[in-house]
Parts: sequence; C-alpha cells; structure tokens
Amino acid sequence: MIRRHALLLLAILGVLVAIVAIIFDNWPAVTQPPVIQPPNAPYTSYVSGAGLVEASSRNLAIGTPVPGIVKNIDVKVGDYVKAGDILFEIDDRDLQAQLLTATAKVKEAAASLQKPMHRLNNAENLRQRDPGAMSVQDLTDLRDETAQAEASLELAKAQVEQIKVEIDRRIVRAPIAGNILQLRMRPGEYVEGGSVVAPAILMGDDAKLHVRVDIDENEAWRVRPGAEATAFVRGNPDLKIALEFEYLEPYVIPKTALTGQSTERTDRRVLQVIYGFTRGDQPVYVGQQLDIYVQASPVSSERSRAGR
Amino acid sequence: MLYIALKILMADRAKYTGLLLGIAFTAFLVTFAASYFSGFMTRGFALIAENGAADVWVMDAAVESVEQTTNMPDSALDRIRSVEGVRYAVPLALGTVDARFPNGRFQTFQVIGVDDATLVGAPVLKDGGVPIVLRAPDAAIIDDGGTSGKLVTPVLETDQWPHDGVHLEVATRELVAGDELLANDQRIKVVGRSETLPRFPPRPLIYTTFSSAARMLPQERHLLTFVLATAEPGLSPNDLAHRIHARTGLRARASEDFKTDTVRWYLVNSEDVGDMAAMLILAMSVGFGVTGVLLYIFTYENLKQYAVLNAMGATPKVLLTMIFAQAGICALIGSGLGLGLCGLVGEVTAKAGYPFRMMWFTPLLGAIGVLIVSLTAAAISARPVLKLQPAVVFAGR
Repeated sequence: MIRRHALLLLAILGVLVAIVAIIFDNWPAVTQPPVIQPPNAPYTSYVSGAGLVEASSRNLAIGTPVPGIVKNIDVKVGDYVKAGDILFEIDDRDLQAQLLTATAKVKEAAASLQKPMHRLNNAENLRQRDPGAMSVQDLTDLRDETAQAEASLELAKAQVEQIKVEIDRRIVRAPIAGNILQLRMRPGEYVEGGSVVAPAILMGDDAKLHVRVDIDENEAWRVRPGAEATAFVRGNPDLKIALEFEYLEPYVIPKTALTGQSTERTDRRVLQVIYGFTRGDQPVYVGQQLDIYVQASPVSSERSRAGR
Repeated sequence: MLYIALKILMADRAKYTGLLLGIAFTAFLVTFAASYFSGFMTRGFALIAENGAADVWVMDAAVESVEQTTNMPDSALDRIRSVEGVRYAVPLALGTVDARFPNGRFQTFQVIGVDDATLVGAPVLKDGGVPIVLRAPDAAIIDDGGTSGKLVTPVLETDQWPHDGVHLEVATRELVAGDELLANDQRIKVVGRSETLPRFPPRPLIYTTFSSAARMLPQERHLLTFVLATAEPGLSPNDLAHRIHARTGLRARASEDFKTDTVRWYLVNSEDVGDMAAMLILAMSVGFGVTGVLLYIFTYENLKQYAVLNAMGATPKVLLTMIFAQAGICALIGSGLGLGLCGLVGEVTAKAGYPFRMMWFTPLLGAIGVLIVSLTAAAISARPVLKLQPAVVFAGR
C-alpha cells in the first residue's frame, strides 16, 4: 500500500517543499533601519526649508580702514568684547616716524615765532613812549609777521594732531559688543582694506541667534509673517528648538548652495525668513545648518480662498 | 473503469517511471526558469527592496526605473518635505565612478550617496557594525553587489600604490575596512563591507554620504537622484505619492509600484532580459515538447488494451475519460515531484549566490504548463483511440 502510494506521497512532499521555498524566498530582506531617526514634522501643514544660523547682529566681517601689516592682536577666538574694545593694531612705524619730525616742526615753529613776537613787543613799548618813533606801516608789518608765525605754529600742531589721528585709525575697535567668531589673522600678516572674501575677523552677538530660512519660491506664498516655526539640529532629531519670528526679507534672492564651489550656479530663488532663538547652553553654532519647519496653512484651503 | 486506467498506467513500471520523470523534469525546468527570471527581476529592484522604510520614491518626471536615472535640482528635497503627510524625506544620490585599487587596477562602481544627517539608505554591515562609520571623512562602505572576486587589493605593501606603474598580476586579498581606493583624485577610505541584496546587472557598490558622493562623482549640475519619503501613520503610500506628484510635478511612486515600474522597464528596455527570456522560453518549449511526445507515445503503445476494452463494450466516452485521467494523474504527480526538486535545487542555487527566487506564480506556471501540455497530448492521442477498430488486437502489431 505504502509502495503503491509512494509516488503520490513524494509528489505531495514536493509541493510542500515548493511552498516552503516560496515562503523562504519571499521573506522580507533584512534592511538597515535609519541609524538616526529623521525629524518628524511638528505641524500638520508646513513649509520645510534649510536654515543657516547667524548672530542676531548679523555676522560682522570686521574690516580695516588702512591696509597694512598686523602688529598686534588683542583678542582670541571666542572672546567676548565690549563696544570700543581694541581688536587689533596695524603697524604704524611710518606714522611714528612722521610724528617725530612733526613734533620737531612744532618746536621749530614755536621758535620761529619768538623773533617777530619780540620785535613786535619792543616796537609797541617804543611807540607807547614816543608815538612818532615808528611808522604805522612798520608796526603793521611786524604784527603781520607775528600772526604768520603764529599760524605756522598752529599748522605744525595740527599736523601732529593729524598724525595722531592717523595712528589711531590703525587701531581697529569692536563696533558692537559680541563674540569673536572667527580669527584668521596672525601678527605679521598683511590685511587688505576694502571688501575681502575671507574676512580677518568675524564677530557677532551670539547670545541670541538668528536662523535665516530659505523658502523655495514655489512655497513662498504659503508663508505668512509671524508663522510659528521649529528647528531641528541635524543628526539629532531630539534636539529641537522653538523659534520666534523676527522679520522677513521682502526681496527674493537666488539660492546659494553650500557646496563651497565657486562654479556653483543657481536655478531657484528663495525667500529668506529670519527667526530667532536664545542660545542658552544649546549646542548650536553660528554657521550651522538646521532643518526648519514653518507652519503654513494647508494648500487646499489656501487655493480655494485664492480662487474666490 | 478509472481503476483499470490506473492499472494500465502503472502496469509497465519502466514506462510509468519514465513518463513521470519526463513530466517532473518539465515541471522542474519551467518552474526553475521562471524562478530564475523572477530572481533576475528581483535583483533589478534591489535598491528599492533594501530601502524598506521608504514608502514613496520621488524622482525626475522622466525616470521610470532605478536602472536609468537622471537627477533633480536640490530644491526638490525641500519642496517634497513641505508636502503634508510626509513624515520625513531624505535624499539619495546615484552615480557611477571608476575607482582605482592600490595596485592600479580600476573598476566601475555604482556610488550610492545617502543622507548625511540620518544615514537612511546605508546598508547592513557584514560584521554587524553600525553605518555611523560613514561619518568619517571620505568614508565608504563597499559591497560586491552580486559580483565576485572584483574587490581585491594586493597583499604585499610593495604592490600598493607602486611608483613604477601598475602591478596587476600580484597576490591579492579581499578589501577590508582600512583599505583605500582612489576615484577622481579623491581618496575613498573603506570603513566596512556590507552584504546587501545582489544587483542585476551585478556591479560593485560604494555606499557613502551624499556630501562625499558629491566629491567622488564627476562634476554635475545636479546630484539628487531620488527622494525617499515616508508617510505619516494612517496615510497610504499611494495617496502620498499622488499628493507629492500633484504638488511638485515630480514623479512619485509607492515602493511597490516603483518595483513594478522597474521590472516593466527591464522587460521593455533591457536587451539582456530579452535574450534571457528567449533562452528560457526555448528551454520551456523543449520541456513541453518532450512531455507531449512521451504522453502520446504512451497512449499509442497502449492502443491494444484500448481496442480490447472497446471490444468489451467500453464506449468512446469511457475510453476518453481513461486517457485524460492517465494524463492528468501523470501531470499532477509529475509536477509535484518537479516542484519539490525545483525547490530543493533552487535553494541550493540561491545559497550559491545565483538569482533564484521562487514566487507564488512560478510553481503555478510550471504545474499549469505541464497540465496543459499533458491534456493537449492526451487530446491528440485520443484520435487514434476513437478511430480504433477492435481488430487491431489481432493485427499483430
């Protein structure tokens, strides 16, 4: 009996093997779960954009009024400075040299004043005793000479002052209170005046930070001034920051991609909305990119309202 | 009468066994061919399968598969993230790069750039490590992607980055974490080997972060190939795909649909697949032919018995039932055996690294195919039975 049905049993076994093989082959593949959970949008309806952290005072690229060799740097990276504190000094030996001659010239001018002044004094004393002893013309000449010598002295003094002001211009001071964010200069390096690509000192008030959010022009119409927003620190979605609306730049600019390549070309324009938050002890830094979600009304209702 | 039919069938053990083996072989061949083809197609969408967490794939409006892609502007990511119902969306960059091994040999790799922040899309590492190692500078996880023996580096230190030209014919070992490659003047530091799903066509893979991919790959205007979106709980991937498409104008497909798209793309566009399909169909035809002929011969050789039965008063209808019953039973038992064989051999083949995947329809295809062929053969061999004269018994044939 068994022998007779052996083939039949074998066939049924075969079908079972096939079914097992099907189940085995269609078992879901082992996949890598996200290493770091991506952030979940905190609003039901929102616009997403990348935000760049900047100081609330904007990031100030400190410039020098006079190009030259750096003599002395009075701050370190991360220092907090008050408005008016000295940041760095440019080499001023040329002006110090000019100051020597200018100071000497003051003495010379002072000395040159003595002779006409004494002559004028004598003439005036003489004229008091005997009014006819000296002509009015001579006396006037003496007075003019004295006035001229006095003016020369004033000029020499002014030149000293001018050089002192020039020397003071070579000392660069903090325009506002804030932190030194970046320090590229070293003593002995030459700093350029005017607008430079890499500023020697970058400073800003980072007690309060701003986030410059790029909103794609296709979504810009959905963002209302004052809308709520939340920032997520990249790489740690648990670290989220509630943002306060600061202002909106009403000019839409080409998007800058942060690949750091000079050949970068842009194809989209973005609306920049600026949000703020107090830094506290949050590990967020100026120049960092954050993922931003800005609350916005749902598209469908916006469209119907616009259509009405 | 059916009992007599079975008796006739099983009486001649040699013929019966031969017949069953023939049918089993056909069932095996058809199922195996179909499963092998399914295996190829499954490997074709391996990239989609290995990103199981992604509900919706968003791509340029003209892209139809993971095999032939073009890129989108970076702003697409933010636009997709702004669509309601997207729980999160991450970028994925695909590209091809020629990388050099330390001995100067070069190899074309597919570069897969995953999201820097979350590393969604990173593969499962072989030694069970965490893909967070990709955060290291120039780090890459290397995968053989279905190839073998391509990812090797010279054993000897003197053969690595030689100053006197390439050292091709030297002793080699498998790449391990810590080895280096060179692509487009960029260092690629291997931080691990992964074992993801093999690819079709097979190709070595480099998994790295999106920003590293931007440095490794040749300069291109756009780098963003896919955006992988995950739906909010309660929202179906299909609905989300429709919503993303309506809002952004980009092509958005639920993962399952995108797999289907990719398979369709292969069927329509890939010459390799056409050649393969032709060969498989050829194999199937041979199997079918053999089965049909075997069954026909079997019936024909038993004509005498039928003649006797006919003479004893069996109507043609009864005779037909008998023939079809024989054919049907042979087909059923044969395909059962064939399927079992296919399951066993297939799993061994799959373990050996070949693209074998038995899907629900492949054994069905084998069984139904064999059944149709058997019944057709029975129908053809029915003609002589019906035209039978009982005198054949005495004709001495």
